[in-house]
Amino acid sequence: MNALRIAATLAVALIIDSLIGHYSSQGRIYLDPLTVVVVYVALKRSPTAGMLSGSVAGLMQDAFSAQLLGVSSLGKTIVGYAVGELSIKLDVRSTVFLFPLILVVSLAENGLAILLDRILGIPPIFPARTALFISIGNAGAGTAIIKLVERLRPRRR
Amino acid sequence: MLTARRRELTLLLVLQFAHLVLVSAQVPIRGKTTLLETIVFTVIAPFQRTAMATVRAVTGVYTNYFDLRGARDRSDALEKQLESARLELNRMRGERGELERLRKLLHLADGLPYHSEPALIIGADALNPIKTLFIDKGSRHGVRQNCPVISPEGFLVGRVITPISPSQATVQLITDIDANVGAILAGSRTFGVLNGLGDGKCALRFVPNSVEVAIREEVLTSGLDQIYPRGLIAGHVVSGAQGHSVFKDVIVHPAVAVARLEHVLVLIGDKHGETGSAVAPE
Repeated sequence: MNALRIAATLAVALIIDSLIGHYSSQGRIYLDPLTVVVVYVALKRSPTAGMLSGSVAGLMQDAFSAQLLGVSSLGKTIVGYAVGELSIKLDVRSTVFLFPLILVVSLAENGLAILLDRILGIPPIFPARTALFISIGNAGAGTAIIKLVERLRPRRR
Repeated sequence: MLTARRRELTLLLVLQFAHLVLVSAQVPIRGKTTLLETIVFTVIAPFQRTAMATVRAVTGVYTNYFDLRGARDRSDALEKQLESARLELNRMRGERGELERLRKLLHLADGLPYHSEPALIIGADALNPIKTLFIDKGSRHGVRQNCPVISPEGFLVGRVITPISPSQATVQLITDIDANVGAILAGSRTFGVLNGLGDGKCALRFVPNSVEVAIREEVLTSGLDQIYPRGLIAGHVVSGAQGHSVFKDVIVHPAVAVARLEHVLVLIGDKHGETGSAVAPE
């Protein structure tokens, strides 16, 4: 997965994220596709790639939303690093590990964003309940998407 | 390995520090917009606008496609409805025309001193359409041999001949080569016998050479043949050349265009209960 592919995937995820934000005014869709991409990049490449992609993805997401620039990137950078580090030490690619891994890192990311908003004295972008649902959504959809991509990708000998 | 890990940790710390500085720089002081916010908004706004315009365009195309599909289905349904309405309109126009013709026929029948039976033309002689035609009234309706037949306008058409069935009858047209009608020139009051020529025209025979015949002069029934009532318009003169003998033949164009006839009136008897000599003797 080269840098260009990562950039393209992040761009697609950003468009999907914008669409989710745009069309879910009635009933929110609990998913952050950028986090799923960051997790995938960290799993496939390295903690550095995970951190950089998390940082870029977060900045893009913040720039396209009403959030302060850097809030999402702070969390996503940590997600990229943590997943990258864990994937070196443990085999987290199996479904048994993948689902809780994404759930925990998503909870950490959203929790950090809420905490930061509270420290800065600005209204949080979403309530804690929504953060929980997004984390569960990320874990479910992320696990399914990553497994599907893994299955579709041609295996290297 | 350790160096790589340290490098990663350093990168993480640098990135986190940079993000925190970035976030701090945006915190509004005394409710004012920060410079960074303004810069980011200015840089990002065109991209965001372009992205949203693209999304709107794509969704617009998608929505329009389904709208168009719906419109085409509705158009097809309306087309079918229109087609059926057109057919209904044509049928009603036909019925209105028929109604008007029948009304005319009944109006004429009321004004005539004869009992009459309106009849629909159901066919014509396949080999010679100016010879005979068939009507949908027969002996059950009082139609008998030699009953005169007239058009809705009151012009002479012909007479009933055999065969006659209970529900239909044959009409010999005055244009038939075997048809003979006692006739009179309306202007000169000269009698003659109107004969079919077999080509759609008739000839008024036994008109003395001395008689001046005017073109378009009307030819009426004389009643002398004991079949047709007196005074019915049979046609008008189209030519009246001098003959080589005492008499000349006057060419007459029938008043009725048989090809356009749809209904006729069969004269059955007079309204005083007598069978007039000039109407339908057996």
